[in-house]
Amino acid sequence: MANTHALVIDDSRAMRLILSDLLQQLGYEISEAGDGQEAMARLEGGDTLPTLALVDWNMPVMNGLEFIRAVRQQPCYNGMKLLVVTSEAEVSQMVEALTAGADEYLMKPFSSEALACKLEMMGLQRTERA
Amino acid sequence: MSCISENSYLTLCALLSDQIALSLPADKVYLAEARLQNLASQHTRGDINALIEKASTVAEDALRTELVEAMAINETYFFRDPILSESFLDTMIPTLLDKRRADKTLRIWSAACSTGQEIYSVAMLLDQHFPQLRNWQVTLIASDFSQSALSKAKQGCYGLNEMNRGLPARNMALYFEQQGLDWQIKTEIRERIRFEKINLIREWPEELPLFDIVLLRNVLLYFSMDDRLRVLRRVREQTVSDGYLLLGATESLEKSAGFIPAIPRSHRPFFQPV
Repeated sequence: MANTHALVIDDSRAMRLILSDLLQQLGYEISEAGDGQEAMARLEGGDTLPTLALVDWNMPVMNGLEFIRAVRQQPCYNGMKLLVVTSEAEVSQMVEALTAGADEYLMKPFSSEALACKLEMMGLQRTERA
Repeated sequence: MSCISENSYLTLCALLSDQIALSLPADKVYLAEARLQNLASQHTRGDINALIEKASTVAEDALRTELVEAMAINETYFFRDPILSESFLDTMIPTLLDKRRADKTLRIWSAACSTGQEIYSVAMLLDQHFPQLRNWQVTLIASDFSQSALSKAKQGCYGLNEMNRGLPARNMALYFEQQGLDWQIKTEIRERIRFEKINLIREWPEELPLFDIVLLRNVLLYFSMDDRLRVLRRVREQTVSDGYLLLGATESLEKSAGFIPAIPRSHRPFFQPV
């Protein structure tokens, strides 16, 4: 079975719970972090690389953009897809995240279907495939 | 709470079949109740049976239109299922670029465009991946029977949930502008598309050209077999002999429809005229 481990990074415990629940329903194993620095520590200490990280934008200590930049500077993390999940909906921020190395961008609030759709676009979840 | 009587439901089914060929199954009474409640509140004091009766009388054209539009299925989203991008990028456009290189024309029809996400997905695909088409005469026509769906499609303005469904972030940044809480597709893309009101089971406009690609996705599955074949035969007449027909990801075609799989022995919903 393919690795379907997702790292959920958000300073809101409620949002981590919501995202974890949705991802578990899609078959993912979950680990969580409350900010970018904690997420980096989890990556460095982990045995396997998560398939996917869901990254909030505004977080204390190390924000989402800084985390994306840090991850993309290390080739050993290249296999991990990065989905920004944020209430920041400015085009300039979207461009900034994509330029830094994010694979996709999901704006809050979102539906479970929208999350599944994004994962499909990232090659992680297939639906309606002929 | 109004409940639909058996007679009213039969009247409703007959009306939808006659107006838009929608074949409503017998077990969808709950759906009709949910979708018609608001309209009944506006017109018949919440009585859905009275609404159906009123809308089915000859003199009630406007109400009939409102009722049919309320019952129509407008489900759509950007880049719906991977076959759309794959068939355009891998097969249809590369082949047509070669075949039409002399007259440099390309005609594409989204025949049940709903609120426009499908035709805008096509316009974005062409713009992003085939810059050579900027020197071609590309005709993009999008049609639907529903005036309210067409109005939204023409406006090209979408809310957060619609933007989150299927649209790559790069496309969002490249092709859309924020309008308050909504996002509107840029004028330069919107202006490339001609929107027309066409009911597939009624007369089609005489000036409708022959098409290189027809998108008829996730609509025939709601039709009866007779209506389905009738529409497909007309689509066949409207498609150039080396053109393409693209259906929804889970749809298939009867052999008598006049199309064969574009890729032999493939089960992908992507066809060419016989």
